[in-house]
Amino acid sequence: MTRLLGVALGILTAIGGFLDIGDIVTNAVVGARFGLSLAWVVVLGVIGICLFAQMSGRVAAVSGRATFEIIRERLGARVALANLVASFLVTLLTLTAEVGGIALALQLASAVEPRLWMPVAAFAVWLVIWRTGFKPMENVTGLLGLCLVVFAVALVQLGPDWSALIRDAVTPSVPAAEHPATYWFYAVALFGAAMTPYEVFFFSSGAVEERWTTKDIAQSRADVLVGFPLGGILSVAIAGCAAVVLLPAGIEVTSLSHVALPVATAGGLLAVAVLLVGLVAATFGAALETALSSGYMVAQYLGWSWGKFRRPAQAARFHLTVIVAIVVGLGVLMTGVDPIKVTEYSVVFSAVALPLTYLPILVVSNDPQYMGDKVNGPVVNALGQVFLVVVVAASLAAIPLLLLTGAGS
Amino acid sequence: MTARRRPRRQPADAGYPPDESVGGRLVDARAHLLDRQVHDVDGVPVTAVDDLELVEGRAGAAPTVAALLSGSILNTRLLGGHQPEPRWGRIPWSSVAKVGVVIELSVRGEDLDVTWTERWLREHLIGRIPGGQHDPE
Amino acid sequence: MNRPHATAVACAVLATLLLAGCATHEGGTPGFLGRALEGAASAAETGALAADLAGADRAPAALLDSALGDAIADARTAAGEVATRQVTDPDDAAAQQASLAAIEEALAALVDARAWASGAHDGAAAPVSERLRQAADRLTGLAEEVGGP
Repeated sequence: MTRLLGVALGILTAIGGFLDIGDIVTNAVVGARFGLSLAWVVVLGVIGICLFAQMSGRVAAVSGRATFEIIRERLGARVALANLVASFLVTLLTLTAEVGGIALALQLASAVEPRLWMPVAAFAVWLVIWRTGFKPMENVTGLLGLCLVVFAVALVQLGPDWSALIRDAVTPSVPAAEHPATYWFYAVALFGAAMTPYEVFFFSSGAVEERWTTKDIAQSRADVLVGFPLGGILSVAIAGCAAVVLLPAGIEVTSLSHVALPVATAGGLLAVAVLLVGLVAATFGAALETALSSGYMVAQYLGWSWGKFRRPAQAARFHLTVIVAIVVGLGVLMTGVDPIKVTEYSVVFSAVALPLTYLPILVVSNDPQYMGDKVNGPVVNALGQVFLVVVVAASLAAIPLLLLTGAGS
Repeated sequence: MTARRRPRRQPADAGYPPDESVGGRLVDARAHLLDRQVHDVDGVPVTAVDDLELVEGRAGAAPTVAALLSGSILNTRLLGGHQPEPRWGRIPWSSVAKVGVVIELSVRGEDLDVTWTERWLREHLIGRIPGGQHDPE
Repeated sequence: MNRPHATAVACAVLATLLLAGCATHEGGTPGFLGRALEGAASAAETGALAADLAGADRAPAALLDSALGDAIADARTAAGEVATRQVTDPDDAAAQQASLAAIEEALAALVDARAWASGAHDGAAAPVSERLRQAADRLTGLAEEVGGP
């Protein structure tokens, strides 16, 4: 019975932890402009993240080492450094977006200006990293993040024309009013939002934090293969709610309040209350993960002691890196930049950085020196290689599309 | 005489006499030493190996590894240039207990020069923040 | 860096600059005005939706205030963009004037809606959201006229 509960907890936490501010905002923006005609990108992104999260978790469970340690050993200091710089900058940008997201969500709940919430949010993120254990941290934010299921409930309550929605999703096409370049720009953005680079490093470092062994691979497989797709369904539900309520009215999504309005339309005060809990939990959880990931990356490359399983004084440089990352993120936000804009840029640059972060995982998970006999099977490798092509294509297309479409306007 | 050479530029056998058969394992310095993580005797990570200090053998004998180097020396390896000797972060080869997937030392990390930033930060910053010395939950 | 490397990087930079140049939006001033008008229409429609939700008591006050506040900010941005646009053509100037007037009207309606939602004056939701929807329709109609085919 306890085992079943453990499995269920893992899966529920994976669902609740799947969405971050990038997913929430990008899906809403896309839904309000393109309906469900970009839903296929979410499917693609979910398959990708399942594949690579599984690989990186297996690497950590089998080898007992976290990703960046292995990347440097296997690919050399120079390649690993390029990887580190790109991943770190993108993760820092994402962290900034997440802290901004926490502030925006709190504004929706309190009508207090986001700028006043930002220092509070940043401090709270640091405090939780400083004092809370890894597992409780993940479980609480994951389970509370499950409140975002309200999007799926809201979509059903809105009573949309399901056949039209499904048709839109299954036979995608560029809407008449939109330029194909804009369509593909948002496809890349949505892909970057789904396949967040930091997730891979967080997953593998988390596996080391929790001392996974080969026995834990099965559990992690269940979490990923069941949890992430269900999380992906919530992504599509967000787009669906925006498509049903905002698209017909010609409302563009420019703030987090736009994301909440369809839920209010569908389910009233109770739904909004649940939504706000979910939004704060999801963004807070993602802020924790990105802050820790920045620390993990740098510490693992340079060989420092790291991890929440150590007393902070025993991992001083790691914790300093985390603090610096949070402070820099807060600094950027306090300049008055729009957190929604930061989010939109963070998902595009995530897409750009994807090849650098995913290729090493593919290489390492095939290396018998680290994996023994648990290297990738042929199916996983085939899928991995297909995805590598997709990921490289998205990465190369991202900046040109960004420039061509002026960030999607 | 101490000469620090970069293993990378050395051709495979630059005219050295063949190894005399001695007991022990043959490791490739570039593959098994460079860029490896170094753990101390308690398994706590110390640093990563950024470079190696090689000492010229006497009268035609092969060079030997005098120390593992770490720290800002990495910049010179990646970008080129030289760094004055006093600034090299050294872990003497005599402290190395085992060369495996990670390099294990026979001494505590605390006693090494290379961990001074960690100790400094612990004393002056991280250790001073309330809760810094607490065991994790 | 060796020669081939440097050439490749130079090409990439050049291509990027060219693309950035192409990114200036199509349509010149009419296209620009059309986009600003659509942004303002979106803000007005958001206000109307928020007013309806307020009337039906389906959203908490904090959310509505945030939504209306954000809509006001969007409308102000649109007004600012239109106002600071440099026009040299008499047709463009006329379009600019008409656009500005329509956006300001929507802005006034939004500000009033926010005041109403905060309880500054009584009344049902219907007139408030109706006023906003009419402003939005005017803006969309103008966008089609101004923005061209």
